[in-house]
Amino acid sequence: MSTKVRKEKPFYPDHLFTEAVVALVVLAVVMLLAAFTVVPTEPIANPTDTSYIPRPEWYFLFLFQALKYFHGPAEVLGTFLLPTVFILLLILLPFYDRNPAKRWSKRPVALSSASVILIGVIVLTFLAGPVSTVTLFANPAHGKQIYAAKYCDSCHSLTGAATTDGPPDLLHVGSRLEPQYIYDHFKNPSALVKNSEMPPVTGLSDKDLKDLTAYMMSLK
Amino acid sequence: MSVYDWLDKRLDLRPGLAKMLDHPVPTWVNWLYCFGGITFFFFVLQAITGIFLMLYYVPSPDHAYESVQYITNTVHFGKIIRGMHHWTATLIVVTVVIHMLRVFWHGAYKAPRELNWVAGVCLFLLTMGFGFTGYLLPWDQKAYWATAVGTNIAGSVPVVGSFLLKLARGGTDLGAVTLVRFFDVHVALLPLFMVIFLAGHFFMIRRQGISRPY
Ligand code: HEC
Ligand code: HEM
Repeated sequence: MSTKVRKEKPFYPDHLFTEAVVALVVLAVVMLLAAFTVVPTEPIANPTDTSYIPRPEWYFLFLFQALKYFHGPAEVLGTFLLPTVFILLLILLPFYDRNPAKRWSKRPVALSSASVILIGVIVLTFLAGPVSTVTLFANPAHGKQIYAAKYCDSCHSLTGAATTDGPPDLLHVGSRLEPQYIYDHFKNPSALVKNSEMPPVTGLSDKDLKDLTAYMMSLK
Repeated sequence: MSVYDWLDKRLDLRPGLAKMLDHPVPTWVNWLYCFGGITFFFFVLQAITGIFLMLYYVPSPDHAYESVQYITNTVHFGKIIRGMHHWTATLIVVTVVIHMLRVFWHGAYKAPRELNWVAGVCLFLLTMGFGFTGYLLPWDQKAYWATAVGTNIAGSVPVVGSFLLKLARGGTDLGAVTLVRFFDVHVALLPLFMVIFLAGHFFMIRRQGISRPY
């Protein structure tokens, strides 16, 4: 045990003062964020637009990603069983972890299982999240409008039809390509695909190009 | 004579206040222990900014979107208030998780603090509940469709699924009734439970003290 002597401090006023300072710093951070960023807003809800692919709040992304691995009858495993087991394991932790030790070095099982779960959640979040910054602030709903306005559908289909030659079908393009590639390809298709018959996408701002890329990425 | 003395003479405040304030803070408390307090501060901030947002927000499909845009673009300080509520909603999840990891790391959930861990997990779930219900309120595309997916998940639960789905949506469709329901849960039901569980959490902390991490 360490022999370091530190004097106990009273809650009032010493500790409360420290807490007040922390609270003020935190408040300042939140106010600065509020003042200098824009809360992202999408178009008004359209219940008939069933092609919209929603993304949950970032802290639900790991769950959203995990659900992708369960299909058909197994889906209920991902939507119900796994989360329920997870929450029960969390709530009941003090009752099944009977090891009285508190120091981390004496709790190898608890620490390693928790690390595995934590790493799993982080990895799933990143798998679901934007790996590229191209689409970080982009609006896929707006990209969809551009897709129509630029007559992309005069060449491309969105039906999942198999295409051997000619313009590829784009129904699942988001699971096939990386955002950076799509974005670069728009600017100059023939630089990436030899003799590409797709004309460069012109007359759009950089933001529009990113929105269009985000829309492509939403087609999974 | 100070105001405090005046009140103390009539209401005998000293013993109560002393009980609340006069106790030593253990020497092992360091910066890792601040996240519970920050989370609490964030909750208070959400309550305050939320009360302001409610002055203009209208929980109906015809007006929700417009009222949020009005708050953001027209109301004085509306952008700041909404931005604070938005950012705090994100940061509170970060701090509550760090707090939970801190408690786990120090083994502070072990006897005799089992019940406070259980109360803590409930607080964590309540926090996530605020996030889920609040997401629908701006009534934009992602709000609507993310909630459609989220409530569908409730519908996939065996046996009681279709009941849960109807309970969450107030019918089979996601519409006006759902929005009012989510609003009600977000501003009345969850805050009520949050306050109850926070009171329990803090009561237990004061009775048991901060655990020794070794
Ligand atoms: C004149 C016909 C034509 C038009 C118009 C056109 N494309 Fe293409 N597009 C092609 C062809 C041909 C290819 C295949 C060659 C290539 O990858 O460059 C292609 C490839 C693509 C790819 C890569 C697909 C893959 O699987 O490799 C994407 C993404 C794409 N187009 C999107 C668009 C978008 C968005 C628009 C509208 C702005 C558009 N295209 C307009 C003909 C067209
Ligand atoms: C709204 C959410 C929460 C708030 C405001 C909150 C607040 C606090 C505060 C202020 C403390 C004092 C020590 C510290 O800050 O570290 C504390 C301690 C504690 N919290 Fe929380 N908490 C919350 C959620 C949780 C969660 C999610 C858990 C665990 C699942 C948890 C479990 C505990 C335990 C066991 C203690 C006692 C720790 C000890 O004695 O060292 N709390 N909480």
